Amino acid sequence: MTRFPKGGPLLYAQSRPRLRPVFALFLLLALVLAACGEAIGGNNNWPGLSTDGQYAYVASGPSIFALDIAGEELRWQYPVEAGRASFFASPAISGDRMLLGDYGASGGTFSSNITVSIYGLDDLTATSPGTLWTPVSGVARDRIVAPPLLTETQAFVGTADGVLYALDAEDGSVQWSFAAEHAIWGQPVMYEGIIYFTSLDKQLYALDAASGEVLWQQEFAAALPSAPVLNDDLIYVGGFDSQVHAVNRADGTEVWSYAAQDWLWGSPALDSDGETLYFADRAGNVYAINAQNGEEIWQEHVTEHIQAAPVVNGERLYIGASIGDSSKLEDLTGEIMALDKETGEVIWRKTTAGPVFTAPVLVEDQLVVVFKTGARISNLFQVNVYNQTDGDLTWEFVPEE
Amino acid sequence: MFEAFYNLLTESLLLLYQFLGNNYILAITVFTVIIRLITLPLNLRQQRSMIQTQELQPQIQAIQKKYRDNPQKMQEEFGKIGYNPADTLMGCLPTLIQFPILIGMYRAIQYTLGSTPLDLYELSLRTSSVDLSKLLPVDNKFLWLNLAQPDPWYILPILVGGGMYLQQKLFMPNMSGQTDKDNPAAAMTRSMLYTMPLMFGMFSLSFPSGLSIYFIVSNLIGIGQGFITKRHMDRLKAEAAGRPKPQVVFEDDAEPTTKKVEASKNQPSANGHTATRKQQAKKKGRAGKR
Repeated sequence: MTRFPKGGPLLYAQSRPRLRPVFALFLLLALVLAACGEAIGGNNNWPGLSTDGQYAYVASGPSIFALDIAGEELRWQYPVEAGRASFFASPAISGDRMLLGDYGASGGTFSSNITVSIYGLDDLTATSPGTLWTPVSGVARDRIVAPPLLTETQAFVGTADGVLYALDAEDGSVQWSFAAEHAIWGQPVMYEGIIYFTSLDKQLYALDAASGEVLWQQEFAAALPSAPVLNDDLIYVGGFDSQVHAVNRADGTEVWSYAAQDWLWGSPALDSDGETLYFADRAGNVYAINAQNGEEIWQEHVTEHIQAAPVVNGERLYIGASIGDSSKLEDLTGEIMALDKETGEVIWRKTTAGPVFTAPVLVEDQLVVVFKTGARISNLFQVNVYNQTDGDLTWEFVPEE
Repeated sequence: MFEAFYNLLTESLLLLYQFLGNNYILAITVFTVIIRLITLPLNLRQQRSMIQTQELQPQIQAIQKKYRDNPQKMQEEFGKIGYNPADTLMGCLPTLIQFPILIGMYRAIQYTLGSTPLDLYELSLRTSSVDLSKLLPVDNKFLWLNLAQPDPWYILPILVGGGMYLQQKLFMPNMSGQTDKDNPAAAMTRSMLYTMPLMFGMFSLSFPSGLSIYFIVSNLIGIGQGFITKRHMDRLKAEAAGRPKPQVVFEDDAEPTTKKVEASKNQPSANGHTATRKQQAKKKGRAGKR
């Protein structure tokens, strides 16, 4: 082993002129790799979560995890072996079929191309899912951030470059596509043959589901990151203008709007009778307003930050939150709360180890919550299952690294 | 500390974007110009350091050869000819400073372009002086490019590597006539002329196009700056040509000493012996054989 002479490595490098550029190059390379190593994890997001009423499906990192909530076990993982693609959009479920899209797989060190794929699975209750159709690759050109929509006959997938694809649900063939001006992050919704979706280009679109023809589009003051909510003749959207807008479903004209105090990131939740609309803003306020005329029923400040959509069930409203203002994900914690939907009073509140950015789902009498753990670039997550009534933690799931 | 620096770059980029009519390419361009202006004094210092080192290269080589295994003595002799090895590293300072800026730009572009909800969430926590609701989403399209994604046609990586090569070529001192044996450092410099552009070109394959645009604009500015500093270099060289150069003189006692001599005079040595140029050359040969 070379011992540096008195004077240290600086003089050693000076006495070895051939090595100086090598030292400098390695130092620079190390600096870049060390600093960019975390930054390269930009192809990352919080987990997606959906349910078919029996299982909960988590999309995080290289796999989709099917969790048997009643049996408290991992049912299956897809793909079994991690590939180059990542999944973060909540899978779409229809009966025994699943539709999901990935964030794209890199073409390799010397390739700048990303291959995005759309997957159709079936036989979800088996020990491993079946393949409905061969993954559709190369059609979508950017990440699939928005949860897709799966109906009996069609599948709708929105991408981060603003294109909505309509596919045949039987074989995955592309029927039509429509290009918005910017990313689609909210799940599309369909009603009576019309597909409605929002975009970060500040527009709400209504397209004919069969042909993709634009029926109408309505522009708002700011980006719309979440799915629209339908209620008979009204559609509700919330956005970064900190407002909830109710528009006429027939032509998109605005009927009323309600101003919250901060960004509305998650979709509003409609009560089962269609009379009350619940939503939450980034400043941690929860609102209940009359769904027909937008009049406030109650408003409560319950936590620090809310990104996730609330979930209403029976007499309760369930909301996930993030705690902390650090831009470092690993410094944040979270909580999940149950509120009385009539008054906004917090009934129970439970702390989680990471921020809850994903809307919880209900599986029978259990509330399933997923949150990201660890650093930004990690795909680590944890699932907590709570009793809806009293918030008792009944099961925790942490995937193997 | 780094987080505060990233936040500063992110907010600055957004402010420029807002001020320049929501044009992201223009914002990157102006931002690059500002950064280059800030680092201009360091770049000029780097050039000056390179010239001075180039002038003293023969003396430095001789001392290094003689005192390869005695760094303390080497340092002493360097001091006598007015050469400080630390200046070489100071000359690298502009390049080293560019790297934190490069990393900060990578993060700033990633946050401002908000490719995923998580990116946008982090952006909202890093900015306080801009109203994001009015700015978002940032326009990420330019020609065929999605600025948040790598260039699918490989044009930008070629421009990044090519521009860097051209800039280095213009800045590289003239080492014609010097063989690798005469000046091993020149050999390394020549090899880095190719390796650095290759490395950055490869990085650009996976970087967002917006960052590659930053590289290209920075290289273009550097080339323009190179023509300006080249005049400065020529002026310094002309001044240097009129200065007496230190020469290495090997005395009979075989202890090489270094002293400044007038270019046209023979000075008596410490023991009274006067060495002519012919004798100096002979003694250099004897010293080399030892």
